[in-house]
Amino acid sequence: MSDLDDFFGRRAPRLGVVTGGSLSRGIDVKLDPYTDIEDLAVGRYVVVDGHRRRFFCMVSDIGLDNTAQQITRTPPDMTHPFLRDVYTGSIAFGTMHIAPMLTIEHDGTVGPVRTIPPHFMDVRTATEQDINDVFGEEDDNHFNIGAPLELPETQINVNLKRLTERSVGVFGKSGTGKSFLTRVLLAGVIARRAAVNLVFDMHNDYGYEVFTEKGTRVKGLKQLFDSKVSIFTLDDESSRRRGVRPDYVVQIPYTEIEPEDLAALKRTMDISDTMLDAAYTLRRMWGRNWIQSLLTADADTIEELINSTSINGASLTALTRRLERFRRFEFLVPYGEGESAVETILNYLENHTSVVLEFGRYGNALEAYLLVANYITRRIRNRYVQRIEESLDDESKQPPQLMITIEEAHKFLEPQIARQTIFGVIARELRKYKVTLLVIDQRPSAIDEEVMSQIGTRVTALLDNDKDIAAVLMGVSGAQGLREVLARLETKQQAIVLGHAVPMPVVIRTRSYDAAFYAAMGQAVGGHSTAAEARSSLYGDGSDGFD
Amino acid sequence: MGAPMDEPVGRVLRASTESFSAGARAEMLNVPPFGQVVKVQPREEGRAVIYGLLYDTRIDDDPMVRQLVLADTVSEEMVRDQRMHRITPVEMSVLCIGYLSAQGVRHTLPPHPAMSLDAVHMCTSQEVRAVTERFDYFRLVLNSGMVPSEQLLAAHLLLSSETHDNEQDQYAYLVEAGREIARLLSNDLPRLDNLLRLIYPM
Repeated sequence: MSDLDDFFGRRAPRLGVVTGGSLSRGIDVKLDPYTDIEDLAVGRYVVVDGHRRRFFCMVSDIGLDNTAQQITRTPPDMTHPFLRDVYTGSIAFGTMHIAPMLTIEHDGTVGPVRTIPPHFMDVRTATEQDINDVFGEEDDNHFNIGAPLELPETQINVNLKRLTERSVGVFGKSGTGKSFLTRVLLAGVIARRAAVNLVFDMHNDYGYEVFTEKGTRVKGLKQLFDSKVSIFTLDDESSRRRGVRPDYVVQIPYTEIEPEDLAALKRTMDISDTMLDAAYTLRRMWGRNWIQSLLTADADTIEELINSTSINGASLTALTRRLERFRRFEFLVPYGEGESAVETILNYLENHTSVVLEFGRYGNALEAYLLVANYITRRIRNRYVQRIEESLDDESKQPPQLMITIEEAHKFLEPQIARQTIFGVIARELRKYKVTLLVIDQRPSAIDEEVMSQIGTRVTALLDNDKDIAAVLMGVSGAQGLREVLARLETKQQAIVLGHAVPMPVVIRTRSYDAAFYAAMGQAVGGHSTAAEARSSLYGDGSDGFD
Repeated sequence: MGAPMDEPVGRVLRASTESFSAGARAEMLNVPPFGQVVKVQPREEGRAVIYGLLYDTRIDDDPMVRQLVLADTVSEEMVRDQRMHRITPVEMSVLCIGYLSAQGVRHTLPPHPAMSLDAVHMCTSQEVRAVTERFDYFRLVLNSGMVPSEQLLAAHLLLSSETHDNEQDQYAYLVEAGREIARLLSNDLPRLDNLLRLIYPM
């Protein structure tokens, strides 16, 4: 080992040297003649050996350059390998642009980047040691979610405490494996007891086993964690048909639905402000029975209503027609009996049992999804606020950290309604009341900008729409470089993780959701998981388990 | 081939800091080829060994040769006799490319020129490897106005590559040298292209 190896540890072969750049723009690197440019890829990690510290950087662009412009107009004869070998790497050479992300001091301390390495410092591929120095080892608070693209033997661990204390976004265009990414994250959170989860499972993807695009079965959270996860359903028939034995069948009495619950449906059901005003008036007049009363009212009652209140006749008719649509939702019942669904869910959550609410056949009815998610979340969040306030004098009364998972998140969080739905409120108030969101969406650009800025950790699979990419990278330093990375992810099992739960943006090959993963989760629940065991399970049987 | 390595291939006739000429008897002619690395071994201590590239070999006429070329027949014995006893030496011109300092081979002009009658030797393979390990002398060769620089550098590189053990190493050596030349001649692509074509492995 050389002196430099003593200083920096065992190093990878040199890729090139620093030739220019700035802290804000990133660093320019001239590649060595023997560096095969095709071996490089945006998103990979490199390390620059500075005089006193290592600079941990991400490749953000790759290019070709030359020292003689004339050569671009009269390219040399490349038929002879000798000429090709001489010209390549001398007059014509490769370049890359790298974004400095972190510094690693000699004693291993990782810190933010406040300076850049000097000219002509060596640039090398990041080694396993470099990755471990930055992302740490897997432990009770760090969960392995995958590995850097070129270092499959290493692992990227997210800090679960930081992941759950702010909202999380899982983004990616359709078919890029958002459900699998979410399942891995949820499994980590449940296995390490970082938070309890309430999952509004639109397409029955999370609770029990599902089939991948390839037709293989993958396990749901209930099968992995059994007593730590309960399946609730809105559609008992559908659940049982799939072999699921739900712990609870959710019914929502009409008497419990308040006008505020309709606010989230404004755009989906085309409910105007005057219709909402009418709903508030009816609630005030008729009390909890307002929906049933309206739906069963005769013509005389309606006429009297119009004459005796400020409600506009057309709005009342339109509101009635909208509410008529609820009749096809069999989970809506006239009156409640026994403990309400919300109370039951709260009891489970307070007992540290995560709840997956399957929508069954109602998963295809967006109105049902929005109504139920909004209805339940509003009440649970209010109870959490109450509990947190009650626990100010006694921390033992604090409810467990709660993470609420919603799909098609932009339908709840689009700018026009984000301020009126409970989800907008939760996203904005951060960890104040121990409730955060895990939002899953393929159109992040449709989510309210302020809400997006409050999403602490973003896990993003391939996005190819410029607006969506810009939305995900909003507020991220060095975003220009990441934009290139994000647009070039593979469609399966690759994602970029950035934000609160990781020390720097990181492109990963996500952990396979397969038999090895199940085994690791079993050990984690049993309390026997070690970093080495988890690492060995990283890529068990390939990508079969990834959809 | 030719004289043993410890035998001189000639002696210095005249010298400057940039170059020197060596004289030799005609039968010594087959020793140093064009582009070969040679060295001047000083007679006195305190003067440095000078390395150079042989860039020209000149065979001048003398009165006897002038008469012999007019004869009807010239016997083998007469040719041998003339070559053995001719009064004008074969003259080799050498471009200085460096000298041996206490720290090793330096690719700059020597501090002092060679002195007349200093012995001129061909370098051994090990010496050639040591002298050509770095390419700092390429600029001296390419910028010299007194030598056919491209032809000289090409011949020199082909000879030097043969001091490497196998074809792979020889190829790698020529590629590295080619890249250094490319760096130096990046503003003169036709000249670069010509030089590279002179050295590419057949």
